[in-house]
Amino acid sequence: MRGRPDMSAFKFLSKSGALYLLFFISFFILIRATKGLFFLDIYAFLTRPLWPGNAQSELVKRSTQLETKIRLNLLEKDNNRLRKMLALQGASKINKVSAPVISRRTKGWWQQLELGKGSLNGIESGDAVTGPGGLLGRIESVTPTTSRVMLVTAPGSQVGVWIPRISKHGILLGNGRNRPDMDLLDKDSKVEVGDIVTTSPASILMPPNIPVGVIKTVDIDFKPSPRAIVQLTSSPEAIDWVLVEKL
Amino acid sequence: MRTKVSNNCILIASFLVVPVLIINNPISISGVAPAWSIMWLLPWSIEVGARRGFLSGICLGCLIDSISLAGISSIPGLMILGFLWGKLGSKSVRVERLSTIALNAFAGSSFLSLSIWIQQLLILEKRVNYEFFSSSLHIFTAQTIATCLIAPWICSIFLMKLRKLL
Repeated sequence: MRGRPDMSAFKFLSKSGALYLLFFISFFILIRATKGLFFLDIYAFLTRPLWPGNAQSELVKRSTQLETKIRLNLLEKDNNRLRKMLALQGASKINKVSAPVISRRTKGWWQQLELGKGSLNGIESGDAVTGPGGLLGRIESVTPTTSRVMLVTAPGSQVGVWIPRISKHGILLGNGRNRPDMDLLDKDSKVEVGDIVTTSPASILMPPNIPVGVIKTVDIDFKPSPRAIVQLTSSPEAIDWVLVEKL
Repeated sequence: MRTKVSNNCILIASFLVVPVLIINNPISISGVAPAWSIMWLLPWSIEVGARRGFLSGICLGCLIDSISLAGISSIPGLMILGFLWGKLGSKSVRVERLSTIALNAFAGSSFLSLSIWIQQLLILEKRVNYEFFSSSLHIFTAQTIATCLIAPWICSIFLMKLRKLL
């Protein structure tokens, strides 16, 4: 006997409001899973007229020229060293995308920036973000028109860094403060207060030789390896435009 | 019917204001913003009860997580707070007093901060040091003070509005 399908369960769900509740919760889970895909895009679209003007963009360009001069010296040294070691074939082409900061949370539980450009502009998760002064962080997630930056100061942030003066590697660890920690990989590294810290020239995750900061204090006796505190050269709390550097 | 629709629109708008305030960060103490989620969840849960308060906490947590860095979630803290404030609302306590709201906002902000802080401890594991504790204490104190100062005014207005709408 072929009867009609039993719809009593569906009717019960619909009558008791559970169906709506299920739909409602699924909607928010979807928003969370997509990292605010539509929400942030709508927000970016609506607030576009309020975004910072081009004056800051020019400031960023001028600061970048200055930064480029510093980087050029480092790159020449780096190139010579690499040529001697491996004769590496051509450095990868670096593309830069300038993007406005549409939201910043630099001193709360989350330390992040929200940028007004996303995957439509070629930004991808993992790209390095720099501002006047040097490295700010990395792209953590992207939507078509926005992207989220995890600052180097955020707890959980880890970036491979390099001290050019002594040619030693370290790991920059975010701790929630303006001055991140740096774990030195060598126990006998002769790091000194005032040493410049840059991104690692050997990194495959970050563009090489981007200035990060200056060593503020060093604890040589720290176990298991010496630890330093780095004063960042960039200031994420004041910047309106950033550059996203793609590898 | 028309009134009901417009009421629902107001309620949805009030809900969506929370992430907008978090993104915009219009008020802050020493760079730290108040816990805007608390200011919506406290009066809402008091009015709608424990079960709906619990679910609202989850929904609000999802929305906040979607605009925040991955790894740490507001959901555990907000869902527990939604439930507890819902229970409080069902009892015959005069919650609309400014002092009561301030006290609840203080407890809520502290609890939410604590839940996030514990998650950060789990993420950082052995990398926890003095700098981290110092930073956490700064954020905790600034956020709690900011929330306590603003919450009584916003929450009492929202609570009165909700009593008219619901």
